[in-house]
Parts: sequence; C-alpha cells; structure tokens
Amino acid sequence: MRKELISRYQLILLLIWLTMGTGVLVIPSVITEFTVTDAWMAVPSLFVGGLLSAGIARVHVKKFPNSRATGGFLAMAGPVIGGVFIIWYISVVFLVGTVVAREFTLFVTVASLPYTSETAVAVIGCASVVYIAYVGIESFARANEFVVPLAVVVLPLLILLPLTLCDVHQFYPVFSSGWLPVWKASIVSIFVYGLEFSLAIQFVPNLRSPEKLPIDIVIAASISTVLILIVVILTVGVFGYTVRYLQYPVLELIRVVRIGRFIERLDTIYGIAVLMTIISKLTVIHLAMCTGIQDLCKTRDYRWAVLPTGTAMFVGGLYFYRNVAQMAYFIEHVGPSYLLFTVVGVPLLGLTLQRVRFHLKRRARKGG
Amino acid sequence: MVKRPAWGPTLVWLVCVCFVVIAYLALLFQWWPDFHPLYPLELVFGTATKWLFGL
Repeated sequence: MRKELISRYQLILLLIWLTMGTGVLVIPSVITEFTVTDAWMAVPSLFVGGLLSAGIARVHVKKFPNSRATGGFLAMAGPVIGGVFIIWYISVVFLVGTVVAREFTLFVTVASLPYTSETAVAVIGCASVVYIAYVGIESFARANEFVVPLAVVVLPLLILLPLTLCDVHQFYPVFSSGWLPVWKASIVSIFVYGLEFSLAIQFVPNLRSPEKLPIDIVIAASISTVLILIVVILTVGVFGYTVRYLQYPVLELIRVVRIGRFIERLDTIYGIAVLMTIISKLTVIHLAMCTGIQDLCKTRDYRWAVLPTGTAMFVGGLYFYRNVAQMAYFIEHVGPSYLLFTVVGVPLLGLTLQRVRFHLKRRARKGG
Repeated sequence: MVKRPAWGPTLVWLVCVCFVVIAYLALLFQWWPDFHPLYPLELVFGTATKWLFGL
C-alpha cells in the first residue's frame, strides 16, 4: 500500500484549522467570561499551550521518529500496558471529537437552521467527516490548501470592516481586577486548545519531514494566536461588556457590519468559513482516533474503523451534552486537567515504565 | 503472508453499533434521564481542575 504523505505547509494549515475551527467560536466567550477589558492579555496563552505541545512533539520525534503517539505507547510500555494507554488515548480523542461534533450541530442549528433537527445536521456532518477520513489524509490536506486563497480574500474583509466600529475605551481600565481573572481566562486556551496541537504527533508517519514537527507546531500556534487575538480585540472593542451575553460574539460582530445598505449580512460568509474549519478539525480528530484504533487492533489500514467510530462520535456528542451548559462545563472545568493528564501525564508515565522495564531486563540479564 | 487477527475490527464495530443504538434510543425516548455517563470523569477531572487552576 502506498504511504500517504503531507508536506510541512499542509500540516501547518491543518493545525491552524484545528485551533480556529472551534477556537474562534469558544475562546472569545470563555475569555470574556472572566475578564473583558483585559481579555486580549489572555490570548497569548494559546501560544504557550502550543509551545508545550511542540515540546512534547520534540521528545516524541527524537525517541520514536517513525511512530505515531499510539505506536510510541506500545514501544514504551509493551503490548499489554501500552494497549491500556492506547485505549485511554483513543477514549480521550473520542470525547474531544464528541465535543467538537456537538459544537458543530449547535452552531448550525443556532446560527442558520433553527427549524432543522439536530439529528439531521449531525447526519450530514457525520457523512462529510467519514467520507473525508475515508479518502485519506493526503487528499484531505490537498483539498485543504484550496481554502487558503479564499481565506486570504475573505479574512481581511471580515477584519477590516468591523474595525470602523471598534472603540479603544472598551479596553480601559487596564488590570481592573488584577492578574487573577487574566490567569483564569488563559487556562482553557493553554490546556485545551493549546494542547490540541499535540494531535499532530499521531500523524508522524504521514509527514514528509517529521523532524520539523515541533517547529511546525510553533508556527501554527503563533499564526492561530495572532488570528484569535485580532478576533478578541475586535469583539471587545465593538461590544464592550455586552460581549458576555452573546453566545457567538464573532458571529454578532460580523452581523453588525452594514455599509450603505449595500454590504451587509456577511455572517453567511462567516458561517460557511466556520463550518468548513469545524469539519476540517473533526476530520483531523477522527483520523487521529482511527489510526490509534489501527495500532491497537494491529490492522494494515484504518478505513474499516471510519464509519462506526464516526457515527459513534456524532451520536456521543448529542447524547453526552444535552445542552450548551453541559458542554461548556465540560470544556471549562473538565477539559484542562483531562487533557493535561493525557497529553503530558500519560507519556511521562510511559517513559517511566520504559525506564523501569529497561532496568528490570538489564538486571535479569546480569542475574542470568 | 501473515494472518492478522480479525477480533479487533469485529469488537470495535460491535462496541460502536451497540453504543450508537443504545445512546440514540436513550436520547430519543428519554430513558434514564438522570443518568450522566460522563459524571465520573467530571467528578475526577473537575476536582483536579479546581485544585490545579482554581476554576
């Protein structure tokens, strides 16, 4: 079977959409929940999370230059305990996927199709994600490149038009409540969205230059941070404290743009862009999960797992989070420590086990 | 050619189909409305997030 490979540029694009997909919906709301005037200070924390992911990727590609994260678990902890680690990793990726799938159905039903059932929206989303994952990462990454010229035209337009409504006084007083709200507002960006970059480790065998993975993560994290920073500055600058009462602040920001009764209702363009990026994010998550299952079951291909796990992910999204409040609670209060434990704690545990196994083997050899 | 075990894919398909049927029917007919499958996770990691980050 021919190996599917993607270039550095394609990887960086995939990683940017991985954060922007739902980050542009959730990060402004989460940050402004804690602080409004100092919201912009909390955004660079996304880059800190990206650096953390890049550090983990660096250790991985040094120790296992041709293995996925799940392959690394098997190499570190052996088939039995490594298998347990892989099951944990797959379950975490599955739950992250359910959250994103739920965000997809929620955004579509809230923003554009309020009379359509969430199940119908989930079926369409599931069909798209399953098909793209079935086609494979190489074709997906190539198709993803097509989005860039569109984004280059649309993004500056969406940034520049609301700029005329922005008021600098919305950012005063600076440090109105000290550093604590800024720290609290930074946590989801660092430990949820920043650590999501580490999903790229699962695609190491598919990279043309895996040794450059850490620097690619840093590049993607810096671009995503700049984009989210612009979005947060614009939403706070235009809405001020009202931003706290908006479910999708950026959508409302685009909606307020009206120039001479000629340029208006740009939210359609924004909606299309968000849906494209969420589908892209879901596909990356789904591919990571399927390749993990491939390593666990030791099969030659992952495509047999695409349909059942994709369907389970979308149904899980509807079943686990019945409403926005349950989903928001999971992202804000469970997500940070859950992802920190999985992305940092489990590999550390694996490395410790590898050391212990190495010493036990050496002792047995000496004793024998 | 090495013969690979087929139990893995079969098990994954079985688990996924059972999950989809049970979860969707539970959602549709409101079976066990007070049952929160993620409660243990929320308890453990929710507490950990509170301790570690003060959230």
